[in-house]
Amino acid sequence: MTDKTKVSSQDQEELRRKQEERLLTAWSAPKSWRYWSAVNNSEVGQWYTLTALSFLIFAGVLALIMRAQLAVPDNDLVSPDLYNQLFTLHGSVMMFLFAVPILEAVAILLLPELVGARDLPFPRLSAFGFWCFLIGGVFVCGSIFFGAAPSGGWFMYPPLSSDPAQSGIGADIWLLGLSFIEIASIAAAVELIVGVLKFRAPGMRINLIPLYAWYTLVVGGMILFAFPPLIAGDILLEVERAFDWPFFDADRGGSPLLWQHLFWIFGHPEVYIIFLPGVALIAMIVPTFAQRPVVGYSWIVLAAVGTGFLSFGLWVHHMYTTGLPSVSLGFFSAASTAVAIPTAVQIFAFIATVMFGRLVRSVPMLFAAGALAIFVLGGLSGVMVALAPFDWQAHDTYFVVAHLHYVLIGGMLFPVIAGVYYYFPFVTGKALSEKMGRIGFWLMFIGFNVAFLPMHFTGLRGMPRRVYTYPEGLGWDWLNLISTLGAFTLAAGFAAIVIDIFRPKGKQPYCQRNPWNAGTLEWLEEIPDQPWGVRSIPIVQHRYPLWDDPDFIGKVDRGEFYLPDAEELRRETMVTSVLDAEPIQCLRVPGPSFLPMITAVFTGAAFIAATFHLYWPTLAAGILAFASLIFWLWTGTAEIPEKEEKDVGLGLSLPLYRSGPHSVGWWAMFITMLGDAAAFASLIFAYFFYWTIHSDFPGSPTGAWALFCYGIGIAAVLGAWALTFASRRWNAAGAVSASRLAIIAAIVLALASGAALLAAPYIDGLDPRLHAYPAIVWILVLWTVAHIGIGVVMLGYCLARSLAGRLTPRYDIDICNVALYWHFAAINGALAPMLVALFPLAV
Amino acid sequence: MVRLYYRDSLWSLIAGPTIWAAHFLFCYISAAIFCAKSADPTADFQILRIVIGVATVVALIGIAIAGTQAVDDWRRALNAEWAADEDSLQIRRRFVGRAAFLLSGFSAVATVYVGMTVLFVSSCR
Repeated sequence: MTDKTKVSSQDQEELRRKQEERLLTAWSAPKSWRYWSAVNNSEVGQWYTLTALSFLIFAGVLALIMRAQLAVPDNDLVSPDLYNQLFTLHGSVMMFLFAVPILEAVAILLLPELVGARDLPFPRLSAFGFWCFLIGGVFVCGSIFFGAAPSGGWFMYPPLSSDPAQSGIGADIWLLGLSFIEIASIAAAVELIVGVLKFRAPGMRINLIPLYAWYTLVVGGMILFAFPPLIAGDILLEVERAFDWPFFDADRGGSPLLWQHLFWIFGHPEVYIIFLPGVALIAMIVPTFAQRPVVGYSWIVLAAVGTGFLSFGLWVHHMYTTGLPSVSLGFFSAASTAVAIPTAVQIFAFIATVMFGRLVRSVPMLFAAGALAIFVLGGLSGVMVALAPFDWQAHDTYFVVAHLHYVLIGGMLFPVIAGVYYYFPFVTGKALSEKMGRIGFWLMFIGFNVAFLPMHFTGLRGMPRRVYTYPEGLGWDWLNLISTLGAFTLAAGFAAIVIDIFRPKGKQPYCQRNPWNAGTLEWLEEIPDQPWGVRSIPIVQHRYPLWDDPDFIGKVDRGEFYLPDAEELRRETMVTSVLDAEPIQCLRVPGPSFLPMITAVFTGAAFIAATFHLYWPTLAAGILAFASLIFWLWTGTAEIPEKEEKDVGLGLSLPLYRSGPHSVGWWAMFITMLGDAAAFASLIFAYFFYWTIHSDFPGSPTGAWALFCYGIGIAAVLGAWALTFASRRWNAAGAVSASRLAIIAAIVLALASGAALLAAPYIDGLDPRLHAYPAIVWILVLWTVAHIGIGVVMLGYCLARSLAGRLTPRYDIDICNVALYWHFAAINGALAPMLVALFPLAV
Repeated sequence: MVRLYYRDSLWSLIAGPTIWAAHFLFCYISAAIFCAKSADPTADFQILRIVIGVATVVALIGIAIAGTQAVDDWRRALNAEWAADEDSLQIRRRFVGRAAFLLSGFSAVATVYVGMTVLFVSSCR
């Protein structure tokens, strides 16, 4: 070696060290008490996962108390009322505070590393979602210690849940506490969808993305359309409880069945929202331990997308016994059996992968196999209850309890534990114990089957679910005792795993890098973990890049790919195109901040105060939440960069700022508004639902003055929309003053529209407390006016940004996103008034 | 050839399932309205049968168009050399075409399932 090359290699070494220092400065988590201001996906993902696991343990303990109560006939361990609270909270916590959040948590933790990004598109939004989840979850769980937990079952059917005198504060805690968390779930869905579509490493075309990302994309889309109907239902039920608007009161034209529809339009997709991320983990684990690529990649994509769609056509199979027309039941029965096809396809694909590979035995694989075995049994009993005549016999019995636990524990708990064992080295750098894992698995697997298999028979022998005790001699005694023994065995197995997770590992050595010899990008991670995620953002040309190129890790580590440096000490990652992942932007993501936490605390305070009907504190907390949100947006988003472009390495220069459909914010707005449109559609559904069940719905035809007001309202909202659109165009063309004037005019028109729309039902003399008809009209109008109001705030924000020089013809993210919002607001603003004004005249 | 979507878009994947969803929703809504509003649902059931039958045929034609287009995209890309995980535009197109075709096939099966209901059930009760 000559002196010259020696010097240059030393220089290289020095450069690399400097780069690493700069990356470290940019990406390190804050220290001491400021640690809690972290927003990076690894910190937030870990908090999220641990919190969700704590809720799992809490809800599991509730289940054990129930099993102890049911162990013997005529037991009096707990009172009937406490038992009601136990099963309601068990179901609600498992579904809303464990199953959905854990999978969001895991996705937040894994997704950026899986697709070769440094962080998610909106780190502060993830942090906000986490804090909302923590506050709402503790609030809901804590209620049982005051005897105030919800007690109407996890699906909260009215009239049981709509009468405040009977249900107490518990139902309000459920409605408001969980709505708050549902909003956090939608935020996570937006984050993950944009993450999968726009944050993939360059070259990672849509056919090369890890299956986990496919599933995440599908599940994100499902959350977007499944949660809004529940939020709409929550609004109706809470308004009925708080203000006596009779949406679900049959005496005044309402219908308890409407709740069931809205709940299950959410509730059935929910099952797949839980199950698909579970399978997604299996889809990552199986190829690793078969040491070969997954068999039937496109078939698994078919399964994920197909299941996602079909899951929305199954909701009535929870309502077979409500007296719907039998032809309607037929449609849902057909769809419910059809969904078994894609579900089976993915299971066969996994089995084929194992068959064609060289199986390496391990704890994650054990749990994955156990999961499939249990899930298949649950799926088969699912096909049984999908058939209406069978369901009429089994409905509301322990058969259904057995079925749903087979599906959920096989479809999500076992896969999650498989994932915990698989990804533990990824998160902490240390492995879990093989021995403890095996003990845990066998206790759990045997315990689970001993607990839940007999329930099929208890159910077929007629034991209804949700009874706090039963008399002896009905043939249920020993079956229940066996179930209880099984439940405690299952819990012992789970305890072994929890101990394995939390036992001190200080002396245990770090495991080697990529300990399972996996092929996917997340295993690039250094052990112990470095805060920057990937040392340089790789070019991906293969589904399993680590298997394809033995020196792949080396190249990434030596910084031979994109963004190996952080010259400006900023957190940066790459945005790429949807189909072919061509680089389009170098995006700066925000760093640590307490703002998400503060905003979440105030938002939580508003929801909690509303639960106790303390409306002044609600208002105060709401204003503070709003103020912190605006401060957060103003200081942290749409930042104007110091230069146009940045050299990201390998001779590529990328813009630092892009607006419109090229920006991630635009995509987030679009996706959020799709969810919002789904909630709006649910309210429209409610309107027509009343029409189909009542011959006298709608009530009296709209009066002439009210019609006039609706007309003014529609015209004004469309005017505001047109002006917003014009403002965006004029701003882009450089006519800044014209653009500002258009914003002001749009605000005036929007306010006029809101006033006219509120006046219309008032002039018509509609009293929402008298009947469901005026109530649903008022809700549609209020929904519309609220959207116009939010639109006004956004316009005011744009005006202020423009005046402050933060929104310019070149840097126009804000107005582009607001114009996009107004497209949706205008559709809503025109449709809802037209419906409530014209439909009563048409029929 | 009739095309439902641009070649390079993700619409191809969801075209078939979206038609399934529209058909499903149509069946559900028309049955709900028919059963609620018809004066004599038993006598008039034939009307609902015909309406849903026509809707099913229309939906299947739509899915067939989407599926044919998917096969076309897939076949064109087949000329590219076969390799499981190669990084090229052709292979990506082949994947999207193939997955779209599979999804169309599945949507057709699910649509037939749902449409078949009115052959076996002839009552609003």
